[in-house]
Amino acid sequence: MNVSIRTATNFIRGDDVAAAEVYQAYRKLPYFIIVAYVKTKEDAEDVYQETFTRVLTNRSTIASPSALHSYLCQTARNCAIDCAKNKEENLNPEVEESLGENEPTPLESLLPLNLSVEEKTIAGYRIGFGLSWKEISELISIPMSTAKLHYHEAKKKIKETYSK
Amino acid sequence: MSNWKKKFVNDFDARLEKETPHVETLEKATTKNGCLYGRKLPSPLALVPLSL
Repeated sequence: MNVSIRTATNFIRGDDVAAAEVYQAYRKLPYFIIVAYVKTKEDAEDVYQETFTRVLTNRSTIASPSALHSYLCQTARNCAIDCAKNKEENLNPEVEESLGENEPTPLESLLPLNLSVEEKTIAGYRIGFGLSWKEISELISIPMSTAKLHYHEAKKKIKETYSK
Repeated sequence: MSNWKKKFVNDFDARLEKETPHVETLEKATTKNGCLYGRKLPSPLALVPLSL
């Protein structure tokens, strides 16, 4: 967890200073969780705002201070999945094609490497944020063993790129 | 931490810092007595161009 239990407790009780502290500590992780699911920067920004709004509105329902980290991560994930599903249902194929041609996805902007989406996501979670295999497996809904395989491949490619 | 990992983490973090959007209401909440969590905000005078 990125904040102390005391800060998390105060946050759940509705304290604004604690909310600011939680926000500072968790500014980046939810954004990275979101970009693994959505395809445009605009959607990522909308989902990001929605995530923090939901967390702030429902903070009194967080079961315990130690659950704050996973509550934040899961809220970001759920908001991103909702957005991705909505887009899929409402997008016609022609628009989808033209979307892909214009600019890189937010995930590509963060990790402009020759890796698959899974490899980028897992490398970011594991090396960039130091998440556990259990957390990674829950966030991307794949078994830990599969996540480790993707990581192994990603690590080889990243090592090659950054050793030059 | 090995060298390539350090380089990757630095690169990744710099991009994240640049790309992560701001939540306005929470940004405001971080401002207490002119300080943004330890960092002093510039005084309004500092924003006036020197040529004036």
